[in-house]
This record gives sequence, C-alpha cells and structure tokens, in this order.
Amino acid sequence: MDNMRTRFVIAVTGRLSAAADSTAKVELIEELSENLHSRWQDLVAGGMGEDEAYARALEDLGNVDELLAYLESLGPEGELPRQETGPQDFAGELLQGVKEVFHETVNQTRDAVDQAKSIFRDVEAKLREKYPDGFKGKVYVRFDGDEEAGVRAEAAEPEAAPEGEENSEKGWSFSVGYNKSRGGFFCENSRVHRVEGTALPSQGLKGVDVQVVNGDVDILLDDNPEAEIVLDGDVENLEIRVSDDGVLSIRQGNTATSSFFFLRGLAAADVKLTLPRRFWDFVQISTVNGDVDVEVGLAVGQLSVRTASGDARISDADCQELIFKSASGDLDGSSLKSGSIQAETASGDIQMTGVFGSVRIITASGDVDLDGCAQSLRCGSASGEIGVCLEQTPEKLDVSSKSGDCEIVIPDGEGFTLQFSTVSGDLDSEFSLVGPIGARSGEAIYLDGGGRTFRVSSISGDIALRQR
Amino acid sequence: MSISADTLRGHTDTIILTQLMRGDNYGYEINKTIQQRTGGEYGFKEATLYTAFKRLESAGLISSYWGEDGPGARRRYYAITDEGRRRWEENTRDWQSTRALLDALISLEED
Repeated sequence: MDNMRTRFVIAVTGRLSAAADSTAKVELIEELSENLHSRWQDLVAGGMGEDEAYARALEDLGNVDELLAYLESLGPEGELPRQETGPQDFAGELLQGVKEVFHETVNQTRDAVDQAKSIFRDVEAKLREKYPDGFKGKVYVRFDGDEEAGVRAEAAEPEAAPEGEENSEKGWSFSVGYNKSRGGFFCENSRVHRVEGTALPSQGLKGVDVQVVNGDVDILLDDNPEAEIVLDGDVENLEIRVSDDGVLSIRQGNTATSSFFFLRGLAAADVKLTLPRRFWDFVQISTVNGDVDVEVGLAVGQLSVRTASGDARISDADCQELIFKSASGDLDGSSLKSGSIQAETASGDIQMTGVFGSVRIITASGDVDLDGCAQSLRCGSASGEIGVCLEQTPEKLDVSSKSGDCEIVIPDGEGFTLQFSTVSGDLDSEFSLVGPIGARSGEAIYLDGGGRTFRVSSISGDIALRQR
Repeated sequence: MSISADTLRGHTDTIILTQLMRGDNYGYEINKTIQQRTGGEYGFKEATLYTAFKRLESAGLISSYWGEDGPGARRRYYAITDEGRRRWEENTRDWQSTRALLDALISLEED
C-alpha cells in the first residue's frame, strides 16, 4: 500500500470526520486524497521535499465546511448500507452512542419530570415512615451512572447504636432509578447489612458486585453448590455488605481513612472470592488497575468486567451475557460459551475462543482475535488488526476498520452476499465471488447468496476473506 | 489580486463548465489546467472545486463516472451534460455582455 496515499486518506478522513459515514463520504475521501496525492507527486517532482510537499498539498484542500454541509444535506440516502448495523470505528461508534442516548433522553424527559416528582414524593414518604419522629442527619445520594442500578440514597444514622444492640445494620437505604425491565422508574427499600468475617452463607444470594480501585480480583469456585462464600486476600480493609435482595457487595475501604487511601491509589488490596459452583444471576467486577481472573466453569446470567488498565482472563465460563469494557486492559477469554458478548476497549486487545450467539466488539487501537462459532458478529476497530476465524458460517457478519487489516476465515460450502467498501485498502478473497471485485465498493455473491449478507469495510486497511 | 479573485469566484461554475467543454476530465487535472492557463495566479482549493462539482451535478449540469487510472488509483471523471452546455453558452453570452458594459462604463475614451 502506498504510504503517502494512506497519509492523505487519513488526513482527509480526519477533516471530514464531522460528517456521518456514508457512501458519498467514502467516495469523496477517495477523490480528494487521490488529488492531493497527485499534487504531492507534482510538487516532489518539482524538487520540493516530501514533508514540505505533504504540508503544501494539504493546504490546497482548503476549508471543508461547505463539503461537510453537502454531506449533511444528503441525509439517509447518502449513508452506507452497512450503517444500520455496522460500527465504522470506535470514535464513530461512541458518537453514535451519545446521539442515541441524547435522543432517548429527550424522548423520556417529559415523562421523567412527572415521574421524578412522584419519586421524590415516595422518598419523602419513606423517610417519614422510617423516622416518624423526624430525621436529624444527612441523606447521601450516590449516582453511579448505571441505568440499571439507578440512584441509591442512604440515610446515615445520626447516632451510633447503643452498646449491646445489634450493630450489623449500619444504615438504611432505598433505591430509586429507572429500569425498563422493572417497569420504568422505581423507588424501593433495600436493607443492607454489613458483614464481618471472611465466610458467609451463600443461600439466598444471587449476585456478586465487586468494585476494586487498586488490586486484583480472583473469582474461584468451590464444587459444592451449597458451600459458603469465602473471601480471601487482603480482607482487613474490605467492606462487605449483603442486601436483602441477595446481592453481595465488596468494596475497598471500610473506614473513611482507608477509603481515602484506596481512592488515591495509596493502598492496595487483592480480592480472592470463592463462590459455590452453581448458577449466579450476575457477577459484576470493576477494577481500575487490577487484573481480573475468573476460574474455569463459572455459570452466570450476566458476567460484567470493567477495568481501566487491568487485564481480564476468563476461562470456560458459561454466560447468557458477557460484557467487557476497558481502556487499555486486554481480554483473554478461552473456551467461553455466551449468548451475547459486548466487548469495548480503547487500546486493549481482545482474544476469545468459544461458542457465541451475538458478538459485538469495538476497539480503537486494540487488536481483535476471535476463534470459534458465532451466529452474528459485529466487529469494528480504528487501527487495530482484526482476525476472525469461524468454524461455522455465521448468519450475520459485519467487520469494519479504518487503517487496521482484517482477516476473516470461514468454512467453504455456504453461500453469502458480500457488501464491501474500501478507500485505499485491498480486498483479497479465496472465495470465487461474482461481482465487481476489482472495484472499491460494491456487492458480490458467493454461490447462491445463501440468504445471508456479510459486510466488510475499511478506509486504508486490507481485507482478506479466507477459507477455513 | 483580491478584486480579481472575488470576480473570478463569482464565475466558478462557468470556469469549470468551460474546462469540461474541452472534454471529460477529473478534478486535479481540471484545477491544474486552470492554474496553467492563469500562469499559476489562480486555482481552486480542492474543497471549493468539489463543492462546485456537487452543486453542478445536483443541478444536472455535469455528470460523473469512475475511471481506472492505473494501479492503486481510480478517478472520478466529470462530463458536461446538454443542459450544462446550454448553461455555459448562456453564461458566456452574459459575460460578454457584462464585459462590454463594464468596458464602456470604466473607459475614459470619448465616443
């Protein structure tokens, strides 16, 4: 691939990044970058240095505001067909997500105002019920930004419990928030008990929520499904709570002082949690810089792992849903079985093997390596390399990159329709496709088309379609 | 050059149509020809040129098609339509008329 041509493609793509991705945009990028490349060649042939010629050629691009307005004016007709389901790149995906959230928020605002009034009336009623003689103290409201978790409010007791009384209850809390599956806005009691010790009965518990700032998290399994939950590691500074609705919560910092040190990275504590080997509704793990290790054979409804820089290793897990989000952490998932997978990273690499239903992977610069079976696959990266090797032909496949190369390996024998688009990358196929393969974009058919459509696109990355 | 540039900017569409009257061509070559014909004194920024292309194309005055120009490159060629030819003739007549008026208005020669 011509390096300077690619530089111009990337530069022009950047200038037009404000416009939604569309066929017209891709073609305009191709035209403009080709012209700038020709201009650069002429300048260099005239004796100008390569870098100076590159800068001069870019100057000749001029103000692109009118072109952006033109692209905007095209509306949905100018959009790429793959736009409906396919991520273009990480930044584009984020922008699209923000737009969707914005529209969703606007749509819900009117109802939300009415329902928020109702919520606050409920909050007031519950406070009056709990403290009929009046409440003297503070109400803490924590926003964790998670729609499903909603907003949690905790009323701190004004005075310590008298000596001799049970003091396992450190506070009273209720949850308010918005949850579609629970019918919209809700406000309900949730009594939380603080737990002392490192072993607690597992009966009645259905979910685990571990949030760690500084330290690793290991999830281990005890083959006895009735076994106690055992907490090991640096347990002395951990706060362990169990709610009435069956959620075990583990946080770093059991005093204001220790919390302060954890939050500022001055203290670290590893968490080793042994769970009985049975089905769990959910296991949520969040770390900043710690690694997460999930032992072989966890059966769970939703497994959610979020890290900033920590890596995650998950082996032989059976999940209905797997969520992995990280900035620079890698995901190494082996022999997984999951109905759906959502994995997003900035620079972290994602490597997974297993059997999957619906897979959605987005990275900015992280590489993707997926091996196994997937019913439907959406995979997008800006500069990361994408490698997908599937044992069965998927029903849907949508792979896109900006500058990273993509290699897709699927078995022979099943037909499909390939919609492809690239600006300066090459498309190389081992399948005997019928269609405009020499072109930069188009639709080609393998065998009878198979009733399934695969979409691949890139700006400057090469795309290879191989037979398994 | 600022007055000339402003004047020329008002005739961007006619300048491009004129180049396409000579035959189908692609953006960079059209701009290069314009620069050569003005001794390097005038040329379009790429964004200006392509904004004009899109405007002319949506008005039905030009059409475009992809052509292969060798390995690693393909170019979109632009061609003038019959409607574009009529518009070019109309614009050049207008300009001749305007120029004659301007010559008369700014000339110090007596009749």
